[in-house]
Amino acid sequence: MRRTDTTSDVAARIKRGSQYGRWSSVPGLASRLKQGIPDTRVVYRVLRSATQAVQNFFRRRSLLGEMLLLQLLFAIVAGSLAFGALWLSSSRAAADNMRNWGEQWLSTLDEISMPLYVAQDDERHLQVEEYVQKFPEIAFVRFYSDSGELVFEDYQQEGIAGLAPLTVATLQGLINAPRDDQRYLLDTVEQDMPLMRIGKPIWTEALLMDGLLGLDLSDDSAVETTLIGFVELGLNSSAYGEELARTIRSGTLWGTLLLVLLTVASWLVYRRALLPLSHLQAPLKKLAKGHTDFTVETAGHTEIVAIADALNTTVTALNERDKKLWHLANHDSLTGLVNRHRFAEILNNELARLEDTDNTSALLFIDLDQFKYVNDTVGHAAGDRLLQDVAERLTNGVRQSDTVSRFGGDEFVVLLSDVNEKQVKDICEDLIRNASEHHFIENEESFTVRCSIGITMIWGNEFTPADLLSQADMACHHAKSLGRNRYDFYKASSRSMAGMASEVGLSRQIQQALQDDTFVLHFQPIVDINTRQATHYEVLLRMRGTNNKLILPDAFLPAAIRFGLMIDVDRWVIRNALEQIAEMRAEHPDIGFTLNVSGNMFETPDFVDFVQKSLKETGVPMEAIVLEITEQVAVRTIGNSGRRITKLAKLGCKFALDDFGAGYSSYSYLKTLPVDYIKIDGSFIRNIVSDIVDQKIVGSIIEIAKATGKQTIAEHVVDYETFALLSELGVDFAQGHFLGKPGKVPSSEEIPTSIADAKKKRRRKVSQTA
Amino acid sequence: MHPRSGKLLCRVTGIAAVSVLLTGCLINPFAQDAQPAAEPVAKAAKTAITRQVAVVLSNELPDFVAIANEPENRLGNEKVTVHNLDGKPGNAEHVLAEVDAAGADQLVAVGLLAAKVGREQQSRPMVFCQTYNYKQYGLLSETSKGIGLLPPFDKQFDTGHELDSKLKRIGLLSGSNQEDLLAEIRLAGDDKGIEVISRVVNSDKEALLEFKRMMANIQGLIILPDNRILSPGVLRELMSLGAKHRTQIAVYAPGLLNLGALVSFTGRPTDIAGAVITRLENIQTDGRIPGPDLVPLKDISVQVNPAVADHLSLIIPARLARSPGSR
Repeated sequence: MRRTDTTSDVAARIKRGSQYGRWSSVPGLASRLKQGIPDTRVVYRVLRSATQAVQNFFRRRSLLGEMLLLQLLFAIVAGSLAFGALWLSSSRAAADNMRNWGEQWLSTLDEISMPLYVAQDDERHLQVEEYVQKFPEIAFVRFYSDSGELVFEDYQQEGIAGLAPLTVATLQGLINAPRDDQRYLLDTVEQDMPLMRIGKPIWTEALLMDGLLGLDLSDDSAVETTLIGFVELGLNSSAYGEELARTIRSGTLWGTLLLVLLTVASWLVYRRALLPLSHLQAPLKKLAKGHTDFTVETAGHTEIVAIADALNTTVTALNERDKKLWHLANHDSLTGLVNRHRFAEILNNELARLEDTDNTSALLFIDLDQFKYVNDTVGHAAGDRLLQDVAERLTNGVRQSDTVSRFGGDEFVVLLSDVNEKQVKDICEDLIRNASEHHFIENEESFTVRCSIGITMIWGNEFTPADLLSQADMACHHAKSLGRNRYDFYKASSRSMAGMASEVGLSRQIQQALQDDTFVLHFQPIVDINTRQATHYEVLLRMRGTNNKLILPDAFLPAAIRFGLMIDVDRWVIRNALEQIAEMRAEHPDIGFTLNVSGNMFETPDFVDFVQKSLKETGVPMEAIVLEITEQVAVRTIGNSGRRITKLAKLGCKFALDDFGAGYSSYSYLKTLPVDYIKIDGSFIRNIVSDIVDQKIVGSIIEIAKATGKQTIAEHVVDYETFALLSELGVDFAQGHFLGKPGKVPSSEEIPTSIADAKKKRRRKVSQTA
Repeated sequence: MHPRSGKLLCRVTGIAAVSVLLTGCLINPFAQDAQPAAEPVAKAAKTAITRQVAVVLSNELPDFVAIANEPENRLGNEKVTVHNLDGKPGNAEHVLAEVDAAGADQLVAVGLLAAKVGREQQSRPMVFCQTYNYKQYGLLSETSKGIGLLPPFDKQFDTGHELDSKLKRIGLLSGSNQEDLLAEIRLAGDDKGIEVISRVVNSDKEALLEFKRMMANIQGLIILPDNRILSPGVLRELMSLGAKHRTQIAVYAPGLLNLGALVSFTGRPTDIAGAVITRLENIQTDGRIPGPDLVPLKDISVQVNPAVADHLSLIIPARLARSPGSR
């Protein structure tokens, strides 16, 4: 039964405790215990839960609570010790008192017993009995004669009459006790009660015959001592002990009450004393949550003031840091204007604001007309200064309430709040006029940098910020197409705007493809013209259209460039191509790959690091990669490009100058650019068999390339005649549908060795197609 | 023998020749008062004065010596030899041998021990003095009678009234066999308007107990010189309690004034000695001593403790203050 009770109790405790956190971690335990199936695991789990509950309590303890707890514990310990000491000392004092009282009673009985020895009558007995009755602690009294005979006995309490009288020998022992210590503790007996027996002999003293007349107190011999008898006293200390216990219990109760009152008082005092500290709790919580929009009052106690000062200093420092970070994150480092990210937020807020008003605002897309020229002519540093100059003039050209942002490169956007079309026109005319009248002077050269402005009006929140930016961009392009140095409003019905809208649509598809990872990579072989073996494959990008058809890069890359997505596209290509290349090189470790890199990507500061990191992550060696950059890119950023090419080349990477001859082709570039391959633009190859000029140009390029130690690659090789001619001209590599079409996996066509073979091959393909 | 005894014996030898003349010319004012008019035997027995007298002292207390000197002075050295027991009963045989050797036919015992020793020889009549419990020890006989120890009680009560006119009730502690004395004291008290509450006790502790009991009802306490019921400890406690409860305590030994007693009443040695000599003179040839068992004293010597009187707010009368006995 006891075992069942215990487990039930534990179960009940667990059931109660299950409402409070940790106990609930023992599911089903209560029911198991109720079923009377306790085992060591149950006990262990209960103990563990209890321990955790205690630990949780201490983990969440407060300073005030802990101080009170410590004080309470100290008070309990001190109180217990004090009560223990009180109990011990009181018990001892009680015993001493009892003995002293006993001795006192013995002395008095000694005095009043004298008549008892003279005459045994009721009156004498009564005197003794009256005296003894005054003291409940006296259980009995007995008087003995000098010979040890019982003379008188009186029992105040029941159950002790049977207690044997003292023997003569015991009484003799009392006589022999030292005279100056006649008290004699006989023994303690348990006679239905704790009984202490004490006794003493009764002596009388008398002066010698003539002692009184010549009294000499120093002369002990002048006294005659006579033994009259003995007195025995039985003392019952139980009544006193009970009284003492009652007193101590009462004292303990009052002490506990006092302790509780003191604890409450201490709690109030401590709480008052720690109130300033508690006031710091809310600001600290705010700070912990990242809020720094508060200050703490610095008054009161010295310690609190120090903490508050430190807190305020911390908050101020955090605010300043946040402000700096926020500024860095939301502003263009070159011009100090808000950046694209921040501008998007401002535009969103503007849309939200306009939703509740009838006002209109305007978004301007500004593109500098001659920036590229300045950049190419006097360098990037000058270009940067020009951008700063333009930013300042734009800021000064609009109102305080308007927002100017640098969007990237030489593109700026401006948000004009609460303006109508006329006001917008006035502002734009001022901006264009200012730009036309302002001369940017660098290296003693004067430049007039004009601008084209695309405008879209904002009514409510009909369009998203991206739509509005596209509209302004399209209007800007339209303005440029109309002859630059002018502004134009976006018109949804415009034909040219429709083309722009198409590009916007493509840009959204690109973003979606990037987001969904749905670009596709194809590989086209590049064949060594001598060995007729594919030594490299060019990685080509395709985008899956809405009808699931693949879109060629010529269709979507302009939109990507225009809408600033080219870097993201390049990164995607490099990352995914290297992953696939890594797999392919597992089977064909000698094959190389060429990757197209846009000018935007090539100009990013971390381009080299990105390439290195991607190669390292995929395990593709640098030697297996040839990066293709266009002639325009290489020429435009010839300084930085050269440095980046050199850096990567030192690591083993090779470069190919793509589409050579299509742009500002200059043979001097072949001399200076540190590239390994020259890819001759396909426009020279397409008709080379029939066009003698193309033959001469290609021949010249090949000769110069050879002279500068570079190898040449001919694109768009579509037939054997071309291939054969290029071979005669000395081209090193060839690429085209004749040698292999782009495919999901690297493959190479069987290359005919003669015209007859080529014809056979062509017929075979036609018949297969039929 | 005690040196004092030797000196006394020399004096006895030196003045033996003039003893008769001195004896015939002796005028004792107390003797006349002491001798009752109805004692013809005493006058007839004056011839017995020529007998040899031995004075035995219990010890050499000043009062005892003073008493012993009086017979010597009055009877002459030749007729009186003085012997000292020195407080030791063991000296009795030796002292008695000296008495025999001196040819004494009359004995004067000063003190209880001396009286007890004297009682052991029956051949000589004995006059004892300074003895309280004479009945207790069977000292009385036809040939053995004494002189009272305590001074007259009427004078004691008069002195008490002089010290404290409001004195109305006093206590009295005594041992057994003193009923006559107690009755005499109560009677004297009644005459003076003072109620005497007497208690007979058997031991020193009982004396103390009785005093505690009666303490609340009395203004003063007379501690009779009963050696049986007094011990040094109890005396101290009686004095202490008396001082604490402002109880006037009268004693019969000046030595107790030091313990805290207010007043001490004693007989004058000359008075005692005179009474002794009168009784010696009245001893008949057959050794019988006529008269009462005890001849009372007539004179009183009073000594007051001024410190205690001051404590009790009592003013010591000029008569007592000037008294040589007052302290």
